[in-house]
This record gives sequence, C-alpha cells and structure tokens, in this order.
Amino acid sequence: MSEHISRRAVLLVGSAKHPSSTSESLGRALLERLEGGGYRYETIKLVRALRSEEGTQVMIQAVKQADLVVFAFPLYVDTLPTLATKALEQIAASRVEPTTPPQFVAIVNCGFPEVEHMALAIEVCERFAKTTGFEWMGALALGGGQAVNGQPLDELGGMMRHAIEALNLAAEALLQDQAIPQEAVDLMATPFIPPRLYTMMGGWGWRRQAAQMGTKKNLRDRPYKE
Amino acid sequence: MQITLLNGALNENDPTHAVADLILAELDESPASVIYYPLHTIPIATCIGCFECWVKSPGECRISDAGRDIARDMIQSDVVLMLSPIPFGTYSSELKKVLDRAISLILPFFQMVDGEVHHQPRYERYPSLIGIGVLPTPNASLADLFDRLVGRHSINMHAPSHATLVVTLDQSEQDQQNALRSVLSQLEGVK
Repeated sequence: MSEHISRRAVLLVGSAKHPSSTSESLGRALLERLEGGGYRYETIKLVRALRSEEGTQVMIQAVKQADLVVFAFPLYVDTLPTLATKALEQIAASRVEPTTPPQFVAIVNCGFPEVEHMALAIEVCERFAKTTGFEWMGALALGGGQAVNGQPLDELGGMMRHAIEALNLAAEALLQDQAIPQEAVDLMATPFIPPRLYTMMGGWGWRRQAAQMGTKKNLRDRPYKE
Repeated sequence: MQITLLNGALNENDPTHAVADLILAELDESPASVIYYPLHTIPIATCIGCFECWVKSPGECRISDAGRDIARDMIQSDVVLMLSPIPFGTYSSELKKVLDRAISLILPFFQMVDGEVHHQPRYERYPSLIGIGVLPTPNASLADLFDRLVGRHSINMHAPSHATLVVTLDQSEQDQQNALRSVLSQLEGVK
C-alpha cells in the first residue's frame, strides 16, 4: 500500500439537506476509510459555501490544495442538482492546470432504485474531471438513497452491506492510487430490496408523512390547473 | 400556443443571450404567446430537497419566490424552451435552479416506464420540452450528452414530445437563425 501520510482530501457535499444527508453519509464513509491510510480530510457543504463569494473562494482553495476531491451529491431531475452544478462551474472558471492532477471521485445517490438514472450525471462528472485537470478515479452510484437518510452508513449494517463492501473496495483501490474497481461499482449498485417492493414502500412512506401533516387527501392536488 | 422560454445564461456577458435574442425575434413573428425568463437576473432560491411540495403543500413549493411562478408558467405552457450553456454536458446552474424547483409538478408516487421506475404525473397534460444548448465550438460528445439528458428529463416530466438543438458560437448568426427556425417551425402554433 502506498504511503499517503501528508495527503489531503476534500469532501464536497452537494445536498442542501440539513443537518445531514445521504450524500454526506456516503462521502464520509469513504473518507473515514481513507483516513486509516493516512489521508486527512475536510468537509465542505456547498449549500453554505456557495452562499457567499467568501465561501466560494474557500471551496475553490480547498479543491486547489487537495490531492483527492470526493464529490457527493443527490440526483435531482436527471442530473446534478443546482448546487453541484454551480460548484463545477466555479471550480472550472478558476482552474489553473496543476503540475500533479488531483484525483476526483464522484458519489451519487437517488430516490429511484435503479442506478441507470445516474449514468448521465456520472458522465458529466467524468467530463468535468478530464477537462479541468483532475485524474478521474471513477464513481459510485446508490439507488434508493432515502434508506440511508443521513445516518452513518456503517451503523445501518445488514441492509447496507453491499454499499459498505463497495466503499471498502473503493478505499482500498484509492489508497493504491488505482481507480474504483468495477466490483465496487457493481456492489454499490446492488438493490438492497427488490425495486417493486421499494416503490410500494415509497408510496406508503409518502402517504404516512402526508397523514401526519393532515394532507393525505390533497396529495394529488393540482394547484396550477387552468 | 403558450411558450415559456427559460434562459440559463450564467451572467450578463454570457453569449447565450445573443441566442435568446434570436429565439425571441423568431417567436415575435409567430402568433405564440411567449413568457420569457432571463434567469440570472431573477432571485430564485435553490431547492432544499425538503419534499414539502409533495407532502405538506402538495403541488406548490414552500419557498415563495419566482421559482413558484415559473413552475406555474411551465405547466400552463404548451412548450418549454430550455436555453442553456452546456457545462460538461448538463444544464447550467441558472437553468437548473428552476428545473429543480419544478418537481412540484409531478407526484411523489412511482410508476414503471419501459422497465424503469419514474414518478407519476400530477397533471393531465404537460408541455413539450425543447433543449437548446450553446457551445463555443462543435463538440459531438457534449451535444450527445445534452440530447440524452433532455430525453431523460422529458420522461420524468411527462413531456408529450421533446427535441434538442445545439448551436455553436462559431456559427454565423444566419446559420444559428436557420437552425433555430428549423426547430421552432416544428411547433404547431408557431408557424
């Protein structure tokens, strides 16, 4: 295993959810594994950083100083959410080609059970990395991200065993300066429950939330119907 | 016919504005009614992923700003024109800020479409989506990615039809105009 004693990583969290999100849980779980190999990391929540010019500059500097950028975000409307898109735009606009390209990893999650929904977002990240002076190390995509719901991944255990094993393999590869292996990608993509059951449970979950808010009868309202 | 034109230019110097001017000039000669949003000039909050538009105030975002008005105009239109630079193949952040807020237009519940899970429609009818991307120079792979994105987006937004066009800044204005005219002329009510 390579020595990474003085290496820096930055976790960019593209979810606006507070106080924690599935994106942050997944990113932290990967970086905690890298800490054991000598990485130290900081977490930047884009929802806060991009609120001001000062915060944006802090984010850009952190990326400039990093040996590894972990870009974790939820899929919104088929691609990167606004915050994640804006971060890539800002980083690209300020980018000076570095002597040694920092490594770039994307971690995407979405509410659909299938990972195919995230393929385009991953392509966007890959294009960003390859055209702005990063070394593309690959991506992990998790379907049914609500199941994590901002909880520490390792505490979820059994249901998330595929995701945990995927992160173990990904961290092992990154510590050897190798791209995320296909086995890790496949493990992360493994549905933790059958998609049809997931969609049924999802519907039940929305109705339960609506019942608590007294809006169960209004869930299908059309306020903008002409 | 009602058309909503969303201009995702990033700032006032963005050359995307010149393409917007060509589109507006073209539509000005048609009988269509056009609602135009130059998005970078409009304060619109980012979607915070709270899903209140699905469960607490179904169909309406909790954030009271222009994001709500634009979602309403989108669903009441026959066509939504999404004009945007194509950073790395995706929509610009300025365009994306309204598209993220427009999830109020669909339901939280799922349905299967071609073997994949997607969200159910909230409304009986949806606008067609036309993506018009702007690139500095021709780039087939970015244009292809943009085309596939608009295609995926049209599934989730239940668009009855969709189309994409990529114009490049090295094209002459006449060539850009011809390309735009070709796409817009496919719309009933614009001719």
